[in-house]
Amino acid sequence: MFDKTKYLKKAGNTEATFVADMKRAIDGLTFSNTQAAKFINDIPNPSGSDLKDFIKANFSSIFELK
Amino acid sequence: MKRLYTQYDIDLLQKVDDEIIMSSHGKLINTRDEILDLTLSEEFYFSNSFIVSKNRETLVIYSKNFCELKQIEKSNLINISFFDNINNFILRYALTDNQYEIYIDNILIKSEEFIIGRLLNKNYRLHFSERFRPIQDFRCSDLLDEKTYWEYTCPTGLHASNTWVVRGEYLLFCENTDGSYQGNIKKIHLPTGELKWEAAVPMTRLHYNEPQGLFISFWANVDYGQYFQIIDIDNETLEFGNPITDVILQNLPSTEGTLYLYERKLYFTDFSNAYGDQIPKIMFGCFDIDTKEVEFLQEVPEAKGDGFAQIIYSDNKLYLRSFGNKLYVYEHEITASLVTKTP
Repeated sequence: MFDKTKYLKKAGNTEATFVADMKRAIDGLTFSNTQAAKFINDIPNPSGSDLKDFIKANFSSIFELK
Repeated sequence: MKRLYTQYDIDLLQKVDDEIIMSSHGKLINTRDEILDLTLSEEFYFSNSFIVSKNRETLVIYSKNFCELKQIEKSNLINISFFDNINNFILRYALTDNQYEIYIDNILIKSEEFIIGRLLNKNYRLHFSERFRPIQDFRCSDLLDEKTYWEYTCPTGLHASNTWVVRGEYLLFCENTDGSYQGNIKKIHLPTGELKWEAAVPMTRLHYNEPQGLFISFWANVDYGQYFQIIDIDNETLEFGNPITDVILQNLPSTEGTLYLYERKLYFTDFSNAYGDQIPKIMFGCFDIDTKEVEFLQEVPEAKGDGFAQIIYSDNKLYLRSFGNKLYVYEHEITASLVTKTP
């Protein structure tokens, strides 16, 4: 799902600012355990909180910055 | 196929054994119109053949027929998953956010913190070195990690694609490189670690069909073509090629929800490319895995501009749920023949 997602960053923002903003935004999202289980196969019973960590840990491969 | 009916506000479909269960705003409904009201639970989900309703300190487990089977009370519960039956399970709770308890025959046999790996069943587990990272090597042990059976390292440049299937005494998984769906499939004997079979595969996104022991992939793109891949795990064969068809399949990514194999028919969803103000057409079709023919491709005009999130075939009916939470139910048209009775 995420690997095809592309985000446009605001003009004037540096990539570092954009990444920091995005990671803060991810922290504000709510994911269910069911959603986490669809993406995370390397820990048992993953939670929504794990999914946020997963997205942030794989940020550069999920979001393609242009 | 002939449309039977359309239903609105269906946010999830689940096939549990032969039962189709639909969810609408926290209520579960089966095909006999029985209802399980879970609107007061924080979250519900399916694990094996069970429905789990979760609140902070209580988990309630229901059967597919909506009968309450078990209640578990514990502080700060996160979730539960079952190995094979309701008595063998792993419970996660948030004493430190990563606290696990493993139960066999309803008896707590081990508490652990911060498991990184996969509990395959009540006999085997895999251990990875780092979570959320490509897996380059792993170790297989017994469930309690008292004995290491074997270790495995992927060839240089490859990593395990993190899809693990246990079939009998064998572990199946794929290896690929970053950014590529091409790779290898491996079949490893779980007790010994012996490599039983391997093959190069053009597609490592696989749909496992447990009853037939098949991995199916079916994907298409206007620019790259249309392909099928059928892996027979028990007979250790791989078929790869182009489906026989006059139609051009346009956007079939072979992801979860877009394919459903029932016996020898693979049902799939597709949508057309759209340019400018065009609205994409939404379609479904059927591919015969024996003849390799696309038997039909049918548009759902009412779903134009939407997309299909799930496709399931059960009891001679095809269930298509759209991202807009509309459920379209079809059945095969039966060609009736006249029978004249003679006195």
